[in-house]
Amino acid sequence: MNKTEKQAIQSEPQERLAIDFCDTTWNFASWLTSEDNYSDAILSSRVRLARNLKGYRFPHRASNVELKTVMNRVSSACEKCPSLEKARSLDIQNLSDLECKYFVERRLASPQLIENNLPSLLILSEPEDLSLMVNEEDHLRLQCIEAGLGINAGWKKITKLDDELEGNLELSYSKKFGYLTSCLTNIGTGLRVSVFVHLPGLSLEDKIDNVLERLPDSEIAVRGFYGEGTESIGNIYQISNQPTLGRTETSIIERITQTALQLVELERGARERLLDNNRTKLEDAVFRAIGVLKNARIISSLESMNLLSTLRFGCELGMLKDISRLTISQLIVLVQPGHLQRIYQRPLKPSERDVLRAEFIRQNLVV
Amino acid sequence: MICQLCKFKQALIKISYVINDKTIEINLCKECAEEKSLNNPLVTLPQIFGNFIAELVGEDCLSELNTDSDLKCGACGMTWEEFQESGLLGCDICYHTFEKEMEIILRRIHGSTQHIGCRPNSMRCVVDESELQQLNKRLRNAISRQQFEEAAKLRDMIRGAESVREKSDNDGILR
Repeated sequence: MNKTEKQAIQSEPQERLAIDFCDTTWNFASWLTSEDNYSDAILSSRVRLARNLKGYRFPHRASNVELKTVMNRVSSACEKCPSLEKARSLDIQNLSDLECKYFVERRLASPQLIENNLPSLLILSEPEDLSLMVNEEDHLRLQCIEAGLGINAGWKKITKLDDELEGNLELSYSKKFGYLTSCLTNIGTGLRVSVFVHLPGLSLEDKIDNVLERLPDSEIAVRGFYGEGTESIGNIYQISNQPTLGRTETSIIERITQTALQLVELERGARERLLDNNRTKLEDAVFRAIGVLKNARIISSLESMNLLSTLRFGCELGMLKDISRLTISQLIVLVQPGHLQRIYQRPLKPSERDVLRAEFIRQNLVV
Repeated sequence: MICQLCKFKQALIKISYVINDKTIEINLCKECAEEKSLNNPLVTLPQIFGNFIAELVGEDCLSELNTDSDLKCGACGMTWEEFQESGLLGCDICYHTFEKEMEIILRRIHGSTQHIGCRPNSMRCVVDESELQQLNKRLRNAISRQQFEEAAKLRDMIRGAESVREKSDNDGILR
Protein backbone atom coordinates (compact mmCIF):
# COMPACT_ATOMS: atom_id res chain seq x y z
CA MET A 1 0.00 0.00 0.00
CA ASN A 2 1.43 3.38 -0.85
CA LYS A 3 1.48 6.58 1.14
CA THR A 4 -1.60 8.29 -0.25
CA GLU A 5 -3.77 5.24 0.23
CA LYS A 6 -2.58 4.93 3.80
CA GLN A 7 -3.47 8.55 4.39
CA ALA A 8 -6.90 8.10 2.82
CA ILE A 9 -7.60 5.16 5.04
CA GLN A 10 -6.10 6.63 8.18
CA SER A 11 -8.10 9.82 7.89
CA GLU A 12 -11.34 7.86 7.77
CA PRO A 13 -10.79 4.74 9.81
CA GLN A 14 -14.49 3.93 10.00
CA GLU A 15 -14.60 3.78 6.21
CA ARG A 16 -11.74 1.37 5.81
CA LEU A 17 -12.60 -1.15 3.17
CA ALA A 18 -12.32 -4.71 4.34
CA ILE A 19 -10.18 -5.77 1.42
CA ASP A 20 -7.21 -3.79 0.17
CA PHE A 21 -8.18 -3.74 -3.49
CA CYS A 22 -5.40 -1.47 -4.63
CA ASP A 23 -2.12 -2.86 -5.78
CA THR A 24 1.02 -1.17 -4.61
CA THR A 25 1.27 1.17 -7.56
CA TRP A 26 -2.33 2.19 -7.55
CA ASN A 27 -4.00 5.11 -5.86
CA PHE A 28 -7.54 5.50 -4.83
CA ALA A 29 -9.15 7.88 -7.34
CA SER A 30 -9.48 11.42 -6.02
CA TRP A 31 -13.02 11.74 -7.47
CA LEU A 32 -14.06 8.69 -5.46
CA THR A 33 -12.73 9.91 -2.14
CA SER A 34 -14.06 13.45 -1.96
CA GLU A 35 -17.37 15.30 -2.11
CA ASP A 36 -18.62 18.84 -2.64
CA ASN A 37 -21.79 20.81 -1.82
CA TYR A 38 -23.70 19.16 -4.63
CA SER A 39 -22.72 15.56 -3.92
CA ASP A 40 -26.23 14.82 -2.64
CA ALA A 41 -27.41 14.76 -6.25
CA ILE A 42 -24.24 14.77 -8.36
CA LEU A 43 -21.87 11.80 -8.40
CA SER A 44 -19.12 13.22 -10.54
CA SER A 45 -18.28 15.49 -13.47
CA ARG A 46 -16.06 14.89 -16.45
CA VAL A 47 -14.40 17.35 -18.83
CA ARG A 48 -12.99 15.97 -22.08
CA LEU A 49 -11.01 17.44 -24.97
CA ALA A 50 -10.53 15.76 -28.38
CA ARG A 51 -7.30 16.56 -30.25
CA ASN A 52 -5.38 15.20 -33.24
CA LEU A 53 -1.76 15.47 -34.30
CA LYS A 54 -1.13 17.38 -37.49
CA GLY A 55 0.10 15.37 -40.44
CA TYR A 56 -1.15 11.94 -39.37
CA ARG A 57 -4.30 10.17 -40.53
CA PHE A 58 -7.01 9.77 -37.90
CA PRO A 59 -6.74 6.45 -35.97
CA HIS A 60 -9.40 4.46 -37.86
CA ARG A 61 -7.65 5.33 -41.14
CA ALA A 62 -4.01 5.17 -40.06
CA SER A 63 -1.54 2.31 -40.51
CA ASN A 64 -0.11 0.57 -37.46
CA VAL A 65 3.25 2.23 -38.14
CA GLU A 66 1.59 5.64 -38.12
CA LEU A 67 -0.32 4.83 -34.91
CA LYS A 68 2.88 3.73 -33.21
CA THR A 69 4.59 6.95 -34.28
CA VAL A 70 1.70 8.91 -32.77
CA MET A 71 2.05 6.86 -29.56
CA ASN A 72 5.77 7.62 -29.37
CA ARG A 73 5.34 11.31 -30.06
CA VAL A 74 2.59 11.66 -27.47
CA SER A 75 4.58 9.64 -24.92
CA SER A 76 7.62 11.86 -25.23
CA ALA A 77 5.45 15.01 -25.10
CA CYS A 78 3.77 13.68 -21.94
CA GLU A 79 7.13 13.18 -20.27
CA LYS A 80 7.65 16.93 -20.49
CA CYS A 81 4.23 17.80 -18.97
CA PRO A 82 4.34 18.82 -15.28
CA SER A 83 0.65 17.80 -14.99
CA LEU A 84 1.68 14.21 -15.77
CA GLU A 85 4.77 14.10 -13.60
CA LYS A 86 3.90 10.86 -11.85
CA ALA A 87 1.72 9.45 -14.61
CA ARG A 88 1.97 5.93 -15.89
CA SER A 89 1.45 4.76 -19.41
CA LEU A 90 -0.31 1.51 -20.29
CA ASP A 91 -0.16 -0.20 -23.66
CA ILE A 92 -3.76 -1.29 -24.30
CA GLN A 93 -2.72 -4.28 -26.39
CA ASN A 94 -0.71 -5.62 -23.43
CA LEU A 95 -3.60 -5.42 -20.97
CA SER A 96 -5.68 -8.44 -20.03
CA ASP A 97 -9.44 -8.42 -20.67
CA LEU A 98 -9.91 -8.10 -16.93
CA GLU A 99 -7.75 -5.01 -16.69
CA CYS A 100 -9.50 -3.45 -19.69
CA LYS A 101 -12.90 -4.02 -18.06
CA TYR A 102 -11.64 -2.43 -14.86
CA PHE A 103 -10.45 0.72 -16.66
CA VAL A 104 -13.71 1.01 -18.61
CA GLU A 105 -15.77 0.72 -15.42
CA ARG A 106 -13.56 3.32 -13.83
CA ARG A 107 -14.30 5.57 -16.84
CA LEU A 108 -10.59 6.00 -17.54
CA ALA A 109 -10.88 4.12 -20.83
CA SER A 110 -13.83 4.09 -23.20
CA PRO A 111 -15.32 0.81 -24.40
CA GLN A 112 -14.31 1.94 -27.90
CA LEU A 113 -10.61 2.20 -27.01
CA ILE A 114 -10.62 -1.48 -26.02
CA GLU A 115 -12.82 -2.64 -28.87
CA ASN A 116 -10.73 -0.91 -31.59
CA ASN A 117 -7.77 -3.13 -30.74
CA LEU A 118 -5.40 -0.63 -32.38
CA PRO A 119 -1.93 0.26 -31.08
CA SER A 120 -3.04 2.61 -28.33
CA LEU A 121 -2.15 3.93 -24.90
CA LEU A 122 -3.89 4.86 -21.70
CA ILE A 123 -1.92 7.43 -19.70
CA LEU A 124 -3.03 8.00 -16.11
CA SER A 125 -2.03 10.70 -13.67
CA GLU A 126 -1.28 9.63 -10.12
CA PRO A 127 -4.42 10.73 -8.28
CA GLU A 128 -6.34 9.33 -11.26
CA ASP A 129 -8.03 12.63 -12.07
CA LEU A 130 -6.37 13.18 -15.44
CA SER A 131 -6.21 10.57 -18.15
CA LEU A 132 -5.29 10.45 -21.80
CA MET A 133 -6.44 7.97 -24.37
CA VAL A 134 -4.07 7.78 -27.33
CA ASN A 135 -5.48 6.49 -30.65
CA GLU A 136 -9.10 6.07 -29.67
CA GLU A 137 -11.46 7.79 -32.14
CA ASP A 138 -8.99 10.69 -32.20
CA HIS A 139 -5.23 10.65 -31.58
CA LEU A 140 -5.77 12.29 -28.21
CA ARG A 141 -8.63 12.29 -25.77
CA LEU A 142 -7.78 14.20 -22.61
CA GLN A 143 -10.14 13.91 -19.70
CA CYS A 144 -10.45 15.01 -16.12
CA ILE A 145 -12.91 13.50 -13.61
CA GLU A 146 -13.83 15.42 -10.47
CA ALA A 147 -16.13 14.68 -7.56
CA GLY A 148 -19.55 16.39 -7.47
CA LEU A 149 -20.02 19.44 -9.69
CA GLY A 150 -16.29 19.92 -10.18
CA ILE A 151 -16.53 21.18 -13.76
CA ASN A 152 -14.49 24.33 -13.19
CA ALA A 153 -11.74 22.47 -11.35
CA GLY A 154 -11.71 19.86 -14.12
CA TRP A 155 -11.58 22.53 -16.82
CA LYS A 156 -8.60 24.22 -15.16
CA LYS A 157 -6.63 20.98 -14.98
CA ILE A 158 -7.48 19.90 -18.51
CA THR A 159 -6.55 23.24 -20.11
CA LYS A 160 -3.28 23.26 -18.21
CA LEU A 161 -2.50 19.81 -19.59
CA ASP A 162 -3.68 20.90 -23.07
CA ASP A 163 -1.30 23.89 -22.91
CA GLU A 164 1.57 21.73 -21.81
CA LEU A 165 0.97 19.23 -24.60
CA GLU A 166 0.60 21.95 -27.22
CA GLY A 167 4.08 23.13 -26.32
CA ASN A 168 5.40 19.81 -27.53
CA LEU A 169 2.99 18.65 -30.22
CA GLU A 170 1.61 20.27 -33.33
CA LEU A 171 -2.15 19.79 -33.38
CA SER A 172 -4.67 19.69 -36.25
CA TYR A 173 -6.40 23.02 -36.16
CA SER A 174 -8.20 25.24 -38.66
CA LYS A 175 -9.17 28.86 -38.12
CA LYS A 176 -12.60 28.12 -39.49
CA PHE A 177 -13.46 24.77 -37.93
CA GLY A 178 -11.25 24.85 -34.82
CA TYR A 179 -9.71 21.62 -33.54
CA LEU A 180 -10.24 19.00 -36.23
CA THR A 181 -11.60 15.66 -35.12
CA SER A 182 -12.39 12.37 -36.75
CA CYS A 183 -16.13 12.67 -36.01
CA LEU A 184 -17.97 15.87 -36.85
CA THR A 185 -19.79 15.84 -33.51
CA ASN A 186 -16.58 16.79 -31.67
CA ILE A 187 -15.12 19.44 -33.95
CA GLY A 188 -14.36 23.03 -32.86
CA THR A 189 -13.65 23.11 -29.16
CA GLY A 190 -13.44 19.31 -28.92
CA LEU A 191 -15.01 19.83 -25.51
CA ARG A 192 -17.52 17.50 -23.99
CA VAL A 193 -18.63 18.13 -20.43
CA SER A 194 -20.64 15.39 -18.71
CA VAL A 195 -22.24 15.34 -15.30
CA PHE A 196 -23.46 12.15 -13.62
CA VAL A 197 -26.56 12.94 -11.61
CA HIS A 198 -28.33 10.79 -9.03
CA LEU A 199 -32.06 11.53 -9.14
CA PRO A 200 -33.95 9.02 -6.97
CA GLY A 201 -36.42 11.63 -5.71
CA LEU A 202 -37.61 12.68 -9.16
CA SER A 203 -37.70 9.03 -10.22
CA LEU A 204 -39.91 8.11 -7.24
CA GLU A 205 -42.23 11.00 -7.99
CA ASP A 206 -42.52 9.70 -11.57
CA LYS A 207 -41.48 13.11 -12.78
CA ILE A 208 -38.17 12.16 -14.22
CA ASP A 209 -39.22 11.72 -17.86
CA ASN A 210 -41.07 14.98 -17.74
CA VAL A 211 -38.12 16.82 -16.29
CA LEU A 212 -35.57 15.34 -18.66
CA GLU A 213 -37.65 15.79 -21.79
CA ARG A 214 -38.37 19.38 -20.93
CA LEU A 215 -34.90 20.46 -19.97
CA PRO A 216 -34.84 24.14 -20.82
CA ASP A 217 -31.56 23.84 -22.68
CA SER A 218 -32.00 22.03 -25.98
CA GLU A 219 -28.22 21.87 -26.48
CA ILE A 220 -27.87 19.43 -23.62
CA ALA A 221 -28.41 15.71 -24.04
CA VAL A 222 -29.52 13.40 -21.27
CA ARG A 223 -28.86 9.73 -21.18
CA GLY A 224 -30.74 7.41 -18.90
CA PHE A 225 -30.31 3.67 -18.39
CA TYR A 226 -33.21 1.38 -17.81
CA GLY A 227 -33.34 -2.28 -16.95
CA GLU A 228 -36.33 -4.55 -17.17
CA GLY A 229 -39.49 -2.51 -16.89
CA THR A 230 -39.28 1.24 -16.64
CA GLU A 231 -37.06 1.48 -13.60
CA SER A 232 -33.86 3.34 -14.22
CA ILE A 233 -30.65 1.53 -13.29
CA GLY A 234 -29.34 3.11 -10.10
CA ASN A 235 -31.31 6.31 -10.84
CA ILE A 236 -28.17 7.60 -12.52
CA TYR A 237 -28.39 9.89 -15.55
CA GLN A 238 -25.68 11.55 -17.63
CA ILE A 239 -26.08 15.03 -18.99
CA SER A 240 -23.66 16.44 -21.56
CA ASN A 241 -23.33 19.24 -24.09
CA GLN A 242 -24.14 18.42 -27.70
CA PRO A 243 -22.73 21.17 -29.94
CA THR A 244 -18.98 21.70 -29.73
CA LEU A 245 -18.59 24.17 -32.61
CA GLY A 246 -19.62 27.84 -32.65
CA ARG A 247 -19.59 28.10 -28.84
CA THR A 248 -16.90 29.21 -26.47
CA GLU A 249 -15.68 26.74 -23.90
CA THR A 250 -16.95 29.05 -21.16
CA SER A 251 -20.46 29.12 -22.53
CA ILE A 252 -20.55 25.32 -22.85
CA ILE A 253 -19.38 24.98 -19.24
CA GLU A 254 -21.90 27.52 -18.03
CA ARG A 255 -24.82 25.86 -19.80
CA ILE A 256 -24.01 22.45 -18.37
CA THR A 257 -23.48 23.95 -14.91
CA GLN A 258 -26.83 25.72 -15.11
CA THR A 259 -28.68 22.59 -16.17
CA ALA A 260 -26.97 20.50 -13.47
CA LEU A 261 -27.89 23.09 -10.84
CA GLN A 262 -31.49 23.11 -12.03
CA LEU A 263 -31.64 19.34 -11.74
CA VAL A 264 -30.14 19.50 -8.24
CA GLU A 265 -32.76 22.05 -7.28
CA LEU A 266 -35.63 19.95 -8.70
CA GLU A 267 -34.30 16.81 -7.05
CA ARG A 268 -33.99 18.51 -3.67
CA GLY A 269 -37.58 19.76 -4.01
CA ALA A 270 -38.80 16.26 -4.84
CA ARG A 271 -36.98 14.85 -1.79
CA GLU A 272 -38.56 17.39 0.53
CA ARG A 273 -42.03 16.61 -0.81
CA LEU A 274 -41.43 12.88 -0.51
CA LEU A 275 -40.25 13.25 3.08
CA ASP A 276 -43.29 15.35 3.97
CA ASN A 277 -45.82 13.07 2.32
CA ASN A 278 -44.36 9.59 2.23
CA ARG A 279 -41.78 9.29 4.99
CA THR A 280 -42.82 5.83 6.12
CA LYS A 281 -42.88 4.48 2.58
CA LEU A 282 -39.41 5.89 1.95
CA GLU A 283 -38.03 4.52 5.20
CA ASP A 284 -39.48 1.16 4.31
CA ALA A 285 -37.68 1.15 0.95
CA VAL A 286 -34.37 2.28 2.50
CA PHE A 287 -34.42 -0.20 5.38
CA ARG A 288 -35.49 -3.03 3.10
CA ALA A 289 -32.50 -2.16 0.89
CA ILE A 290 -30.13 -2.27 3.84
CA GLY A 291 -31.72 -5.52 5.00
CA VAL A 292 -31.01 -7.17 1.67
CA LEU A 293 -27.52 -5.70 1.26
CA LYS A 294 -26.43 -6.69 4.77
CA ASN A 295 -27.78 -10.23 4.50
CA ALA A 296 -27.83 -11.32 0.86
CA ARG A 297 -25.58 -14.24 -0.09
CA ILE A 298 -26.00 -13.83 -3.87
CA ILE A 299 -26.52 -10.47 -5.55
CA SER A 300 -26.31 -9.37 -9.19
CA SER A 301 -24.61 -6.22 -10.38
CA LEU A 302 -27.96 -4.72 -11.39
CA GLU A 303 -29.71 -5.46 -8.09
CA SER A 304 -26.82 -4.14 -6.03
CA MET A 305 -26.65 -0.97 -8.12
CA ASN A 306 -30.34 -0.32 -7.50
CA LEU A 307 -30.21 -1.12 -3.78
CA LEU A 308 -27.07 0.95 -3.22
CA SER A 309 -28.80 3.81 -5.01
CA THR A 310 -31.71 3.49 -2.57
CA LEU A 311 -29.26 3.37 0.33
CA ARG A 312 -27.48 6.50 -0.90
CA PHE A 313 -30.89 8.13 -1.06
CA GLY A 314 -31.54 7.10 2.56
CA CYS A 315 -28.23 8.66 3.55
CA GLU A 316 -29.11 11.88 1.77
CA LEU A 317 -32.44 12.00 3.58
CA GLY A 318 -30.65 11.59 6.92
CA MET A 319 -32.13 8.17 7.62
CA LEU A 320 -28.81 6.34 7.93
CA LYS A 321 -26.60 7.91 10.54
CA ASP A 322 -24.03 5.14 10.74
CA ILE A 323 -23.19 4.65 7.06
CA SER A 324 -21.51 7.44 5.13
CA ARG A 325 -22.61 8.48 1.67
CA LEU A 326 -19.01 8.29 0.50
CA THR A 327 -18.79 4.60 1.44
CA ILE A 328 -21.94 3.90 -0.54
CA SER A 329 -20.73 5.91 -3.55
CA GLN A 330 -17.50 3.92 -3.46
CA LEU A 331 -19.36 0.61 -3.23
CA ILE A 332 -21.46 1.53 -6.28
CA VAL A 333 -18.20 1.66 -8.25
CA LEU A 334 -16.42 -1.23 -6.54
CA VAL A 335 -19.12 -3.87 -7.03
CA GLN A 336 -19.00 -3.64 -10.82
CA PRO A 337 -17.79 -6.91 -12.42
CA GLY A 338 -14.31 -5.70 -13.46
CA HIS A 339 -13.60 -4.11 -10.10
CA LEU A 340 -14.73 -7.17 -8.20
CA GLN A 341 -12.36 -9.36 -10.21
CA ARG A 342 -9.54 -6.98 -9.50
CA ILE A 343 -10.33 -6.95 -5.79
CA TYR A 344 -10.28 -10.74 -5.67
CA GLN A 345 -7.39 -10.80 -8.15
CA ARG A 346 -8.72 -13.50 -10.46
CA PRO A 347 -11.24 -13.97 -13.27
CA LEU A 348 -14.64 -14.85 -11.80
CA LYS A 349 -17.63 -16.50 -13.45
CA PRO A 350 -20.85 -14.45 -13.20
CA SER A 351 -22.25 -16.86 -10.57
CA GLU A 352 -19.04 -16.58 -8.48
CA ARG A 353 -19.11 -12.82 -8.84
CA ASP A 354 -22.63 -12.62 -7.46
CA VAL A 355 -21.58 -14.57 -4.35
CA LEU A 356 -18.41 -12.54 -3.79
CA ARG A 357 -20.24 -9.29 -4.47
CA ALA A 358 -22.72 -10.12 -1.71
CA GLU A 359 -19.81 -10.98 0.61
CA PHE A 360 -17.93 -7.78 -0.24
CA ILE A 361 -20.99 -5.63 0.41
CA ARG A 362 -21.72 -7.38 3.73
CA GLN A 363 -18.14 -6.83 4.88
CA ASN A 364 -18.17 -3.17 3.97
CA LEU A 365 -21.59 -2.22 5.25
CA VAL A 366 -20.80 -3.49 8.75
CA VAL A 367 -20.90 -0.58 11.16
CA MET B 1 -38.81 -6.03 -28.34
CA ILE B 2 -35.79 -7.46 -30.15
CA CYS B 3 -32.22 -6.32 -29.40
CA GLN B 4 -31.10 -3.67 -31.90
CA LEU B 5 -27.55 -4.98 -31.99
CA CYS B 6 -27.79 -8.77 -32.37
CA LYS B 7 -31.33 -8.54 -33.79
CA PHE B 8 -32.01 -11.89 -32.18
CA LYS B 9 -32.49 -11.89 -28.41
CA GLN B 10 -35.12 -10.07 -26.42
CA ALA B 11 -34.13 -6.53 -25.43
CA LEU B 12 -34.15 -5.96 -21.67
CA ILE B 13 -31.93 -2.92 -21.30
CA LYS B 14 -33.01 0.42 -22.62
CA ILE B 15 -30.77 3.43 -23.07
CA SER B 16 -32.63 6.59 -23.73
CA TYR B 17 -31.14 9.80 -25.06
CA VAL B 18 -32.93 13.11 -25.03
CA ILE B 19 -31.41 15.41 -27.63
CA ASN B 20 -33.03 18.57 -28.93
CA ASP B 21 -36.36 17.65 -27.31
CA LYS B 22 -36.28 14.34 -29.15
CA THR B 23 -36.03 11.05 -27.30
CA ILE B 24 -34.00 8.33 -28.95
CA GLU B 25 -34.21 4.87 -27.46
CA ILE B 26 -31.77 2.05 -27.91
CA ASN B 27 -32.99 -1.37 -26.82
CA LEU B 28 -30.48 -4.11 -26.17
CA CYS B 29 -30.41 -7.63 -24.82
CA LYS B 30 -28.46 -8.27 -21.61
CA GLU B 31 -25.58 -9.96 -23.42
CA CYS B 32 -25.04 -7.23 -26.04
CA ALA B 33 -25.39 -4.51 -23.42
CA GLU B 34 -22.84 -6.22 -21.20
CA GLU B 35 -20.43 -6.87 -24.06
CA LYS B 36 -20.42 -3.21 -25.03
CA SER B 37 -20.49 -2.01 -21.40
CA LEU B 38 -23.80 -0.36 -22.23
CA ASN B 39 -25.62 -1.82 -19.23
CA ASN B 40 -23.61 0.24 -16.81
CA PRO B 41 -24.74 3.77 -16.06
CA LEU B 42 -21.32 4.53 -14.58
CA VAL B 43 -19.51 4.03 -17.85
CA THR B 44 -19.07 7.04 -20.06
CA LEU B 45 -20.20 6.03 -23.49
CA PRO B 46 -18.79 7.24 -26.74
CA GLN B 47 -21.36 8.21 -29.32
CA ILE B 48 -21.44 4.69 -30.63
CA PHE B 49 -24.79 5.10 -32.27
CA GLY B 50 -24.29 8.67 -33.36
CA ASN B 51 -21.60 8.07 -35.92
CA PHE B 52 -23.83 7.57 -38.88
CA ILE B 53 -24.30 10.52 -41.09
CA ALA B 54 -27.98 9.98 -41.82
CA GLU B 55 -28.81 9.96 -38.11
CA LEU B 56 -26.71 13.04 -37.55
CA VAL B 57 -28.03 15.22 -40.28
CA GLY B 58 -31.56 14.01 -40.92
CA GLU B 59 -33.28 13.18 -44.17
CA ASP B 60 -34.00 16.72 -45.35
CA CYS B 61 -30.37 17.73 -45.03
CA LEU B 62 -29.23 14.76 -47.09
CA SER B 63 -31.12 16.12 -50.09
CA GLU B 64 -28.95 19.25 -49.95
CA LEU B 65 -25.82 17.14 -50.17
CA ASN B 66 -24.47 15.80 -53.40
CA THR B 67 -24.55 12.18 -52.29
CA ASP B 68 -23.24 10.91 -55.62
CA SER B 69 -20.13 13.02 -55.28
CA ASP B 70 -16.98 11.22 -56.48
CA LEU B 71 -14.72 13.41 -54.34
CA LYS B 72 -11.73 11.67 -52.85
CA CYS B 73 -9.25 13.03 -50.31
CA GLY B 74 -5.82 13.34 -51.91
CA ALA B 75 -4.06 12.76 -48.60
CA CYS B 76 -5.77 9.72 -47.09
CA GLY B 77 -7.86 8.38 -49.97
CA MET B 78 -11.17 8.76 -48.10
CA THR B 79 -14.09 8.85 -50.54
CA TRP B 80 -17.41 10.58 -50.00
CA GLU B 81 -19.12 7.21 -50.05
CA GLU B 82 -16.85 5.88 -47.30
CA PHE B 83 -17.51 8.95 -45.20
CA GLN B 84 -21.25 8.49 -45.55
CA GLU B 85 -20.94 4.94 -44.30
CA SER B 86 -18.75 5.56 -41.28
CA GLY B 87 -19.52 9.20 -40.46
CA LEU B 88 -15.80 9.61 -39.76
CA LEU B 89 -13.26 11.63 -41.70
CA GLY B 90 -9.88 10.14 -42.52
CA CYS B 91 -7.50 13.04 -41.88
CA ASP B 92 -7.37 16.82 -41.45
CA ILE B 93 -7.08 17.34 -45.23
CA CYS B 94 -10.53 15.72 -45.63
CA TYR B 95 -12.00 18.89 -44.15
CA HIS B 96 -10.56 20.79 -47.10
CA THR B 97 -11.57 18.17 -49.67
CA PHE B 98 -15.17 18.02 -48.50
CA GLU B 99 -15.41 21.61 -47.26
CA LYS B 100 -18.73 22.46 -48.93
CA GLU B 101 -20.39 19.28 -47.69
CA MET B 102 -18.91 19.77 -44.23
CA GLU B 103 -20.46 23.22 -43.97
CA ILE B 104 -23.93 21.84 -44.64
CA ILE B 105 -23.52 19.00 -42.16
CA LEU B 106 -21.84 21.10 -39.46
CA ARG B 107 -24.58 23.72 -39.66
CA ARG B 108 -27.09 20.96 -39.05
CA ILE B 109 -25.21 19.37 -36.14
CA HIS B 110 -23.91 22.48 -34.39
CA GLY B 111 -25.98 25.31 -35.85
CA SER B 112 -22.70 26.95 -36.82
CA THR B 113 -19.72 26.57 -39.12
CA GLN B 114 -17.30 28.92 -37.36
CA HIS B 115 -15.09 28.06 -34.41
CA ILE B 116 -15.02 30.75 -31.73
CA GLY B 117 -13.32 28.90 -28.89
CA CYS B 118 -9.71 28.32 -27.87
CA ARG B 119 -6.77 28.37 -30.23
CA PRO B 120 -3.59 26.35 -29.94
CA ASN B 121 -0.67 27.89 -28.06
CA SER B 122 -2.38 31.19 -27.75
CA MET B 123 -5.12 32.54 -25.59
CA ARG B 124 -6.61 29.53 -23.90
CA CYS B 125 -10.16 30.69 -23.83
CA VAL B 126 -12.33 33.52 -24.97
CA VAL B 127 -14.49 34.66 -22.09
CA ASP B 128 -17.62 36.16 -23.48
CA GLU B 129 -17.89 39.60 -21.91
CA SER B 130 -21.61 39.89 -22.54
CA GLU B 131 -22.14 36.59 -20.73
CA LEU B 132 -20.12 37.84 -17.79
CA GLN B 133 -22.16 41.04 -17.70
CA GLN B 134 -25.33 38.98 -17.82
CA LEU B 135 -24.15 36.89 -14.88
CA ASN B 136 -23.27 40.01 -12.86
CA LYS B 137 -26.71 41.42 -13.60
CA ARG B 138 -28.38 38.23 -12.40
CA LEU B 139 -26.22 38.30 -9.28
CA ARG B 140 -27.34 41.86 -8.45
CA ASN B 141 -30.98 40.87 -9.03
CA ALA B 142 -30.66 37.81 -6.82
CA ILE B 143 -29.11 39.89 -4.02
CA SER B 144 -31.81 42.54 -4.27
CA ARG B 145 -34.45 39.80 -4.05
CA GLN B 146 -32.55 38.29 -1.11
CA GLN B 147 -32.15 34.97 -2.95
CA PHE B 148 -28.84 34.24 -1.33
CA GLU B 149 -28.50 30.63 -2.35
CA GLU B 150 -28.95 31.61 -6.00
CA ALA B 151 -26.55 34.53 -5.48
CA ALA B 152 -23.87 32.22 -4.07
CA LYS B 153 -24.15 29.97 -7.11
CA LEU B 154 -23.90 32.93 -9.48
CA ARG B 155 -20.91 34.29 -7.58
CA ASP B 156 -19.14 30.92 -7.98
CA MET B 157 -19.86 30.93 -11.69
CA ILE B 158 -18.54 34.47 -12.11
CA ARG B 159 -15.38 33.58 -10.19
CA GLY B 160 -14.91 30.56 -12.45
CA ALA B 161 -15.35 32.64 -15.59
CA GLU B 162 -13.04 35.36 -14.29
CA SER B 163 -10.30 32.93 -13.43
CA VAL B 164 -10.43 31.66 -17.00
CA ARG B 165 -10.27 35.26 -18.26
CA GLU B 166 -7.29 36.03 -16.06
CA LYS B 167 -5.52 33.05 -17.48
CA SER B 168 -6.31 34.19 -21.03
CA ASP B 169 -5.03 37.67 -20.23
CA ASN B 170 -1.86 36.21 -18.79
CA ASP B 171 -1.26 34.36 -22.01
CA GLY B 172 -1.33 37.80 -23.57
CA ILE B 173 -2.22 36.89 -27.11
CA LEU B 174 -5.46 38.12 -28.53
CA ARG B 175 -7.16 36.84 -31.62
